[in-house]
Amino acid sequence: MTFVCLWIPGEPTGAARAAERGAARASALLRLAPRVRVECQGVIWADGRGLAAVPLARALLEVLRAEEVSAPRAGVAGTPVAALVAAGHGGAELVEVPAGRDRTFLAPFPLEALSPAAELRPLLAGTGIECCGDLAVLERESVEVRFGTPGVALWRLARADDPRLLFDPTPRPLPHASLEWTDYALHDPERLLFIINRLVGAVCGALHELGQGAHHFTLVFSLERGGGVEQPFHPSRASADQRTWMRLVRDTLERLRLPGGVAGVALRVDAVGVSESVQGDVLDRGFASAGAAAEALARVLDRDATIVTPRNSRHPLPCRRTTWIEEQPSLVWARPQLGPGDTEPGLALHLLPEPEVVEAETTEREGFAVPVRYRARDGWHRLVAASGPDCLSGGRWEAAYAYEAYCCVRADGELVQLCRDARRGCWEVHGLWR
Amino acid sequence: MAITTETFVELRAHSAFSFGDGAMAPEALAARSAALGYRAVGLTDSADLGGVPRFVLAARQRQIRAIVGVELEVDGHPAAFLVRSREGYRNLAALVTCARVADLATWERERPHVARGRPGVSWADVAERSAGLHALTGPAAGRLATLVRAGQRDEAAQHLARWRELFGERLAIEVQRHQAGRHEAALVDALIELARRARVPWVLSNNPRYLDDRGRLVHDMLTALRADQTLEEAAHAGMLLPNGRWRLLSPAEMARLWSACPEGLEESARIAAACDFDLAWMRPALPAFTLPPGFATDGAFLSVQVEAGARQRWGDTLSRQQREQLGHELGVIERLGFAGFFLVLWDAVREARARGILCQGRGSAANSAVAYCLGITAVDPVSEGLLFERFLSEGRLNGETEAPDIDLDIEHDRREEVLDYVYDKWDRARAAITCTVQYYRAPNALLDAMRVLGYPVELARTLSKRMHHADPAEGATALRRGLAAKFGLTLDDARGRTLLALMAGCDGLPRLRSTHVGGFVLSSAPLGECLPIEPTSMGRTIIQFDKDDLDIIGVPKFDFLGLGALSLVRRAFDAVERRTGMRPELYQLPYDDRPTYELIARGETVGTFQIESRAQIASLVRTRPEHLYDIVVQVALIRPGPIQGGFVQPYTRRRRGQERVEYIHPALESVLKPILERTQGIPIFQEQAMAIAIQLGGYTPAQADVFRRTMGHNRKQHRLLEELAKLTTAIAAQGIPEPVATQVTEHLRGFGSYGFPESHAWSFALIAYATAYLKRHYPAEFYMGLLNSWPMGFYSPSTLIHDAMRMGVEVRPPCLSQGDWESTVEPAAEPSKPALRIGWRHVRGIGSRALEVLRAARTAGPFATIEAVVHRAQMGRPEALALAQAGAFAAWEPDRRRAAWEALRAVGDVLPLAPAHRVAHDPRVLERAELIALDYTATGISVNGHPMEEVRERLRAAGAFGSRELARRTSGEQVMVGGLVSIRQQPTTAGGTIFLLLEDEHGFINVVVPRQLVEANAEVVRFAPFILVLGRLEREGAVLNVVGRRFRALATRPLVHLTRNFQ
Repeated sequence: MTFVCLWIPGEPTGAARAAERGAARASALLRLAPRVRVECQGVIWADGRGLAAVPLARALLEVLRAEEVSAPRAGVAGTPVAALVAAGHGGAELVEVPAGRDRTFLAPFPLEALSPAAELRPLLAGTGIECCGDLAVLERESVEVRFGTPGVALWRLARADDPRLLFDPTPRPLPHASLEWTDYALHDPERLLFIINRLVGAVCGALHELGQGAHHFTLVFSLERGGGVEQPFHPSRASADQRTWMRLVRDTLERLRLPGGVAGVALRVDAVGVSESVQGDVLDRGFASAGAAAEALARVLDRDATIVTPRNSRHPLPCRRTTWIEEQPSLVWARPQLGPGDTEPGLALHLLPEPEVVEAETTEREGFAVPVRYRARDGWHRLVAASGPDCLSGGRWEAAYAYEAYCCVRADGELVQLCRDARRGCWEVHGLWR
Repeated sequence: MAITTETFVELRAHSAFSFGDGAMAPEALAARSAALGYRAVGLTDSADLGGVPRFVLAARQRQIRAIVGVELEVDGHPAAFLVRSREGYRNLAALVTCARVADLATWERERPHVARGRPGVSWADVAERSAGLHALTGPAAGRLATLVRAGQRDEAAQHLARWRELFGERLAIEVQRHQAGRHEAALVDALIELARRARVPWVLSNNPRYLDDRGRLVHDMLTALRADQTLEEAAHAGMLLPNGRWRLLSPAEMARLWSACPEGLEESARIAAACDFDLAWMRPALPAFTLPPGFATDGAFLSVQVEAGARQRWGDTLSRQQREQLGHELGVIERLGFAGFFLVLWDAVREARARGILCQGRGSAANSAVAYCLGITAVDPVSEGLLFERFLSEGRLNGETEAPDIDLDIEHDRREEVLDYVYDKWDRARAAITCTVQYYRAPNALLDAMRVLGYPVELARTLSKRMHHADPAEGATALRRGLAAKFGLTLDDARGRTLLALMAGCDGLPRLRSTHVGGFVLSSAPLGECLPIEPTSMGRTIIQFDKDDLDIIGVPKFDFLGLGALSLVRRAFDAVERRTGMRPELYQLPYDDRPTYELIARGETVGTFQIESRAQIASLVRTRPEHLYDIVVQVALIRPGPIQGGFVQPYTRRRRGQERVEYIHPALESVLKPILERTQGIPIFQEQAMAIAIQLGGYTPAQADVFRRTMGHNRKQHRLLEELAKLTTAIAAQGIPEPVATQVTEHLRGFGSYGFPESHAWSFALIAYATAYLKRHYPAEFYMGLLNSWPMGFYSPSTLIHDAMRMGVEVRPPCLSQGDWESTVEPAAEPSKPALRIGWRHVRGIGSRALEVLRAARTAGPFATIEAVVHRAQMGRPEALALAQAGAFAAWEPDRRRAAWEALRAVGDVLPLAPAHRVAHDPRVLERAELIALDYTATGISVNGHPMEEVRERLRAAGAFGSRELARRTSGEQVMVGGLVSIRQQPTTAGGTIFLLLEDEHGFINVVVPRQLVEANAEVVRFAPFILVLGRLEREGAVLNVVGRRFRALATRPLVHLTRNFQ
């Protein structure tokens, strides 16, 4: 059992760029180490179990230096806590803790090396427990009664008793099934469907046993003349329901044209989640729409697009009322159905993508310049009525605005919002009521 | 009515006294109204009349009529009420009081009827108090407008009918239009239509909240703060007003806007004409003292009490002078109708004394023989020749008699007892405390502005600490001039510019209202009908006016002030009595005690009352007081007035006989000598200025008092100059050459900044002497009283403890076995030199609840073990650790870490049937320096040494001197000194120079930071706890100052230390 802890001094915490850098480094390190884990504050773990850990650590340090990391440190120990302290506080570029000596190694280090909880620090300092050794020699009961559960956790670390699971167990393979035949090629969709049904039954059964459902599965058709065709499927939610899968498959096969006979079919699951069978959300109302929606979203996701939803506020300026919020796909699945009250009946203001600057002729009314006609790109428009103005101004702390907005009825019957930008002194058409 | 551009009257302005819903000062509103051409303007703050006095005064100065009203929530919807008559004002004030506190008769401190911040009245309350008021139906959120908007026409008509039934012709439908959208426009049309249909007048108002764009920004900020949101969030939530049309529009603008429909304009003028207001209506009836049988008037009873008091004070036989003085004073009091006022104070003093609470009148009251005989004051004005007219005269100010000003100092920690007595005696409805209006200053303007702009809190705090004592606009300037750049704050973007605009916009705006330190207003009638009352978070009831407002209105107040020094003295006297069996009496101390004067002359006055500041100590060392009167002068001398007037040096030289005494001009010596002889020919007291006006200018005492009133305050500087010019003319008119007259008045000019009445100085000097006497003869008791009365004075407990040790007092750390929650005096090896035990209250990290439990446990019996303390006081880990770290368990376990080990075991060992094993723990023994640092962390006080000891060797190697070595250096020598900054002072009189008082293990070092070096070294001299200074030693007699040239923060062990900053 050997852990290699790599520590990069001065690494910023929490920054997105640091995470990006960490991911890049991890892929470089993975060329040498079987498993790597990147943590915050410049800590990278490598799984050295079963390997020659010290040479591995040296090699990993070399990799980091090649990545232009200055003064990386490494600690090699049988427990994560000892490896971490060795890297962070060992005082040398590479510190190896001899096997079975982890507790002795930790003893002289100040307790700060174990990053105790904030509420523990004054208690430990107040009782004169300054280094790991001071804490490690105490009895568990003494520690528990004085410092509570967090104290015991720290005590265990000080004794090099570190139960952390740094590396997850190796994931089991996802269910799959396949069938190949050599004597003939299938051209009949019904027979093909029969085979697929059997494969789906097997895979769904396996998923059921695991309590999982597939987010993403693929059918691979081996063609008689060699080569193959892959057809991915994205159910609207993680599903292990054979009937749902078959409906999706049937829909797809109806549109699919294969270039030749099929000599084998394989079904593999690409991504799984917890199986759900809740019915009735917008994406599942009728399986036809569910499939289309799932497909559309899957396509959007495949193109690395962002899913956004509108968030409306009561900002006085209509064009600032809607903010588009990026959403996680999983949240989109769970979005509740829109209610009837969410849309207001009557005319709605349709804002132009950008306000159109126009020339306007005005007359004075109650101290305001009221438009009587304006000239847009498509020519002059006479206004038969202009109510307002609604004065809208503010936003000095971000982007100041000041408009006098008129609701105007054009001679052709269109209702337009015509605004005078009081800051620039020009007239703009902002939108139309329809 | 012919419509002109001046027809419209804005009836519904909101000032910043709407707290959170107004961003203009009442004075600014009046000024802008006048500038815009208004002939009258109305103020209707939200459930608040606090802005009225200053608004009325400002409007009067601008020659416009002030319409007074309020906006009140009636059954949850706003409506406005304007005052038409005296009865109307009384009803309005009563409604505001009712909205704030409901029924004062059943008011309970712990369970107020109305939640603070949500004032409102019911329709029934309005119905009861509608007389003399003109009602407006309210803005768009008003009940009528709400019904109209909802299309409930019948309900709206019924609602209107109900109001009309109550108010009759005194009702108008309020119509507002701010170009805020089609809903508003529709509402306007509907309201006008309703008014026409119901034949009720409708009136226009713009309901302004601010004056200009900057004001609008501040209003937005206040709105966002109220909702605890940023400006951006508030904008998106639709909370901010959508445009800038809630400003004060000019009558011409309103006329233009409403040219098609001018009835509303005319109605505003008609309503304004029907409204009336007089400040005199706000004046409550004076308190009437409940007389015992046999007395017909307050005056008669007062005379009897004064006579009895005179016999106590002066013996059975009164001198002619004493009799005449009393007769004169009683006559004036009777004529002015203030007998009840004196009796109220007499009663409070009598009650305080009966409870063993020390109290003493201060201020000009000490000029009154009546106050002296009633036991209110302690100075005999007859023997000291104090001028009664300085206290009370028949002169009139603004046509009104100014109320006498008696400040009663009470032991600060027992003041609540006296306040409760007054509340009980006069009941809640007839007694309330004055408020204090807190105005925006640079730090809180910056914090508020940065908060709503979404800046990081830490940055806001850091910056705010660097603009103390500045106005918001000055703070904005400081940001612009480099402070922002220094801390990485960008001002070039929209947010930065907005920050500056917000700060500048906060200038002069009230921010919140708090309780005055002790100004009571009492009345024989329900007070809330004249002065609206509201509750405080502490459960007190305060009126909505501060002391300046009360001056404007002409309401006398009774100041019951807390004075820590009296607490100190009483505690020390108690301790002396316990130890010696003899109790010293405050006013019967030997006033010729040489050792006491020697202590004062050595400048060893740290902790004494009034003569402990760095400047006072320097002055004491120079003048070497020998008599009580020297201390009287000393108390008055080190003040902004005499300092700026340049009186300090001449007085000191003359007092020491180094300069001949002169009397302004040789020709006037015969006249001025009797007035100025005792202050070495220099006018120091206000009474002397008055006497000069009487003797040279031919003023009557009452006229001289009018002159005196201009001397009290900076803000009255222009008035002082006018009065001085008048006096110059008057003196010249008496046949004195004009240049000489000018010379005389020039001498009096220093009072403009701040002049002290002699009587006040006398009152303070008595307490100052008492504290010095205690320090000299009973130092342990003195420091005990001081620590238990802290916070008070100039110095932190750590400085006081080091001073105590330097004075030879044995100081012992807090102890749960021997000590108490307060500091105590304990027997020591030498019976005459008891030890001082620091109380538990100085242990940091113990919450008030834990402290209460600890006190209760200790009261039940002494503690025997650490475990007993922890279990009986039900302590948690933090409290147990705090006590252990402070060494409070030393009686059972001297090692603090082992004590903490044991205390924490006791905390966690909660299973009595299965107790935890006691395991020995042997931590490393703390070094001395560590122990000192731990002391500072745990209590802020160390009896184990001074933190400078640790760096002493290092400093010595670098050539730095300690305070002891410094005394042996010569003047003009370049020296390096270092120390812990004990006091940091930047007096306004010093033009930017900072004075530091450094403390080391042997004493103090005065450091002067010249004005021109302050900015360059600001971070060090303003914020570093330990400082190393290179500079020039200046010696003047025994006074040493190091005038710094270079400053560096001294690196030491991190220390929790409280530096006290003063202006």
